[in-house]
Amino acid sequence: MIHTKDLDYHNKGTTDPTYAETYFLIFSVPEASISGNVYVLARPNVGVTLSSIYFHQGICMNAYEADYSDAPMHLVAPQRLSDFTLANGLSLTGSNNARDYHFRYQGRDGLCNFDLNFSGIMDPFDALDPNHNPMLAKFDNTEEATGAGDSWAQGHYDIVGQIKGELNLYGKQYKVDCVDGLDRSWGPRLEWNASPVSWMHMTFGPDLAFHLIMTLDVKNGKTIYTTFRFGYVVENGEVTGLVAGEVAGENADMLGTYRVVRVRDAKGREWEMHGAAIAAAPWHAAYSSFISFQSLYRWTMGTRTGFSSVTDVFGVTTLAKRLSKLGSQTVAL
Amino acid sequence: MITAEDYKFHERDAKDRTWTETLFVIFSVPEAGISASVYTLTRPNLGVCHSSIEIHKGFCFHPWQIHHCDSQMHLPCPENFADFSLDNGLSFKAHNARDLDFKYQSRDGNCAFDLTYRSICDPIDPHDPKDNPQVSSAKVKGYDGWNTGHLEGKGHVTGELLLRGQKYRIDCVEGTNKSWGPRNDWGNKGATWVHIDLDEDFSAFLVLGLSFKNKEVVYGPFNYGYIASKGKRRPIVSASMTAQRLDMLVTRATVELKDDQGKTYVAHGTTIAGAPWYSFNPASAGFQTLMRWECDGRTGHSHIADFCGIGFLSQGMADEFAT
Repeated sequence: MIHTKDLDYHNKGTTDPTYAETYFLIFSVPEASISGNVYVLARPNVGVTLSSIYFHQGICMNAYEADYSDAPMHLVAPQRLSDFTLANGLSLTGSNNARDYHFRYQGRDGLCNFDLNFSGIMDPFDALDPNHNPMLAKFDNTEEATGAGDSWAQGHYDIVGQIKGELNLYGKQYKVDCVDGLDRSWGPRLEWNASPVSWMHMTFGPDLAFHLIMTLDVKNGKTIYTTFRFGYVVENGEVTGLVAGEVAGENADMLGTYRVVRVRDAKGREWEMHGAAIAAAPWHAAYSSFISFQSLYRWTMGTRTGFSSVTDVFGVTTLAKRLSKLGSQTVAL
Repeated sequence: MITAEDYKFHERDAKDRTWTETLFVIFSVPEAGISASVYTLTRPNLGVCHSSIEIHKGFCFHPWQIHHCDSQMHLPCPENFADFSLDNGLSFKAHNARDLDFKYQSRDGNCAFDLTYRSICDPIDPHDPKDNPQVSSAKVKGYDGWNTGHLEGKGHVTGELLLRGQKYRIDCVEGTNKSWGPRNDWGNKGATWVHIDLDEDFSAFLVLGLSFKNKEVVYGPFNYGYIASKGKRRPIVSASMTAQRLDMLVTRATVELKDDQGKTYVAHGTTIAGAPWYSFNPASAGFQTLMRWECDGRTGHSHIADFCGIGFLSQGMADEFAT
């Protein structure tokens, strides 16, 4: 179970330089096909922080086509993670038992600023709490259960919220009003070849949203979704863990363009939803050792529609083994 | 003037969190179309270090096609930048201002190298008028990381590369550089770093600015450069470069340069390997191309590296917002 104290550092008593604490928010302006994200990775035992702010409009096949990126990797780690301002102009305040967040950003070149309030539509979902996650007992350990290698195995929560505020990009003002995801993680984390994982949100408004974690692979040059790890449905604020999920779809290069998602929750209810990408881009700047392939989908399910994001995260070493000329020919997988 | 001391950390304001020292070497196996970059960026006042090793074969238009990429941004900073080993398996030793050794053993065993770099001429300090007559244009616009302290070197790189079970002999002439000074990771600039290495009579190095016009890269102004011939340097006094490209990667380039004796050279390059290198810094991308150069009947292989901040790319290349 997640508490207000989980907004702050968890590294007390540790000296491991790989100990990492992260925040990730993704949001959108669907009517303008704009997808944005905010990522913070602090290593408190080193005293350093990466902050990445990334925007793209529509589908950008290459990172150099993305519309805005600010990614200093060696900012000073803040004293507190629950309320901080970084030297690149990002501020974050968390509150209300980790349900609510206030993000502010003022880019150094004046080309981008935003002021966003994230209001959780649910309590944070603790992937490592068996009372939240019915799939936890089905795996041998937390690395297997979370699917992301060491990244989430010590501490991780996910939450869906309504994100409202203002975004200014290249002098144009956009109203932000979307429902999308945020997560937070802590624990030792190497920058090396973590398991490929997809972080998926399918939202249909503040009354109905789904979150799904699937592991990934690349076979014959094509992304495939391999194993359902965990997830939940939140309906009118009530959260129920998922017990089954499968995903299929189509890509353009490594970018997801179409997804079919089928899930079943612990109460035996089943849903099937379809997503078509309205924006997508590769995001290299969160880590230099990973690439996230991000897509903003328009989801349909019966008469319901919504917009939210999926990010397929791959370590570059995995990509090299699967997709490089030498790696794909020589590595037994 | 560059000395062996310049490979160590420099005197600095201990409170400046942006103080940055970098080390870069590039090498190739032209006959196999292999291009490799080894980059280390340290922030000694923060105690942190970023290390990126990137190796590609032939053209890779996307970074997920690159053959080996090991990039770790929060490694502990070494005590001595002239002689260090990092947790990712990279080791470096500067024996003096001219002789360097690089070793690497990746975590997964897929890549290793053992390289000796022996300068073919003394490295230059572009901010020292004795080394660089173009000292007045040595500061690269917007490139704060190069504008305090910087060295540029050119050397004979020999040794062995192991990549996915296959061994390659390294025997090339390529560049190294090192920078020190305050540096924000703020991607609002671009520059090109060009080596044209033909034979012992002719190797050239030059730096030019880089900008965008109608989504096309335009090179200039010429900042500085030199020609090395039989171990001696002479300055380049003017230069220009044009290139054709596919996406952001150069496929063909022409460099025209004039030395201090008034002799003009025109080098034509065609690309035998190229890749975007996003992991050398999250705030920037390097578009690395290994060229086969031809000039006055001589041929050789060496690199063009177009370095662009990601924000700079957005303003030059994004569809919707670019002005």
